[in-house]
Amino acid sequence: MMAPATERPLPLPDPLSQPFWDAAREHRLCVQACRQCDHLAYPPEIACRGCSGGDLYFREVSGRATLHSWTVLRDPPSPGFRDRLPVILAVVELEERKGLLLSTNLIDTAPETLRIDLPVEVRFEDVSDDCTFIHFAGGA
Amino acid sequence: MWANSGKVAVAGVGYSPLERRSAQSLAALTVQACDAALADAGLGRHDLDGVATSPAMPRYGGKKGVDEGIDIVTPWYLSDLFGISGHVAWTGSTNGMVTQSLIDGALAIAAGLCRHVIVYRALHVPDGRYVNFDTAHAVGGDQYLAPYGFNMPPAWAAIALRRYFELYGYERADFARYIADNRANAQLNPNAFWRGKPITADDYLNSRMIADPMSILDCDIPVDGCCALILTSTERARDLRQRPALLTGFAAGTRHGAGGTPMNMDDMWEGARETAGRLWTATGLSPADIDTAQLYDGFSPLVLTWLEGMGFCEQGEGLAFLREGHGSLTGRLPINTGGGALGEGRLHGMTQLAEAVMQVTDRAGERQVSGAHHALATISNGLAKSTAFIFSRDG
Ligand SMILES: [Zn+2]
Repeated sequence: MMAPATERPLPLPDPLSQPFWDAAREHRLCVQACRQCDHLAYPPEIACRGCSGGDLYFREVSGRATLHSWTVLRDPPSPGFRDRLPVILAVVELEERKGLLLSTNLIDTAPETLRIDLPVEVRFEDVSDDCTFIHFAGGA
Repeated sequence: MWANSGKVAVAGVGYSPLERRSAQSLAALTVQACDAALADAGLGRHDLDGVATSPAMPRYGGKKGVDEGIDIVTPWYLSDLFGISGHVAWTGSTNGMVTQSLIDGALAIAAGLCRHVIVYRALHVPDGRYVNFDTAHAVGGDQYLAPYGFNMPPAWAAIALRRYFELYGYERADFARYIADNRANAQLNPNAFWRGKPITADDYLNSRMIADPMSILDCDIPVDGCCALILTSTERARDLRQRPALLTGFAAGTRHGAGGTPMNMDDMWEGARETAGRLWTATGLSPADIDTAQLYDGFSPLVLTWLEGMGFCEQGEGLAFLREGHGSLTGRLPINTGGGALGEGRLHGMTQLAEAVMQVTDRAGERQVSGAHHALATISNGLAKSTAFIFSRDG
């Protein structure tokens, strides 16, 4: 039996997500875009929800977003968060499209300043040589 | 209107004990609940020719138990245990919510494939925590969530409830009366896990926070246990032991959330409204016809999703409705009259179905809504895999 993990779970890229995580390592935030109808998607999908086409690519976005909602956790959601409390779980709406949501953590942001539509901006955290997490920060 | 409206009925309801950690196996608890439902209807195991459930263990992260009879009870295994696997006409297994099995079962009766179908849900509390993402890697959809701690459903619900509070100017205090009244309903329900443990509004406000603003009292408690329902034709049900609860109609939710977050209140409202539209069309009824509403409450904000999505309140007004006591047992629209899942324990919607049946058959005892004619049951979060049913009094 494997010992339980002590770090936050690392994303295991698959063929669909590999370009997304590769871009993150280069500190670029990308979402999926459709060549046929220009629909944007996150997380990446096999087919476009706008036109059901399959000609999709990754496009870099600005990293600017607004706060859609959040929760502040004081207990670790998994063992790797033990030394990172409290942690702000946030859903942000990317400025490129209404309803283009992304789940993330807010860092360098005081919980008491949180409100819907708070402007936030992407921050990259290199957690290992080959993995970068995508966070956001408020008050930009 | 659904062509078979009122022609299929629930003829029996059965529960096993609902306990936090039962000394009995899940197989044993399932047999108890199913035998109880059969006895309630005045039927025996060999009368069954259809068996349906959703046998998955709904665990996030960690090891998902798949051991037959311990973690799950599939319809094939149950048929075998009952000695009826040689003659059942149909076994159904959905990978969504068990309440979809009720639709399948009703259609099997209406189509003449089966005479008596049992629909059950057996749930086992896994060792350790239900939610504990302790693997080193996150794969599939989890890779976009678990690295950020989004691996626990109460946090997903917290995101939805926080947005609701912020958009419409509410706070937790506005929920307190409903939560305490709901627990009071559970005191009148012999099956409820929380029977014998009433709470006050202050208990709610001081309860342990899981994911602000979701406290432990906003989440149903996982239990070991099972609930089962017997479906048959209304015609046959009239010759059985109990008064039948007629299935007037049902609707399935089909909306796929936009992604990015597991529970987006805006998508959930939209999905609930679509489901509602289908339900009112299928039944020829409207919200004004409903005497009691059993609204899924695995997480408290889902009550708001359904209350508003079904059209009882405008969007954003559901919590004011509850705050004023309109959802209480003696209120305008008694909601979750047996305490819902928050009071009874986690049964993935069977609570709502069973209580709707009890209400329209005058079997709800001290919590009976006098003369309840139409009872609504809604299950899940409004998105795909959600379901809604109306059960009605016979005659
Ligand atoms: Zn497209």
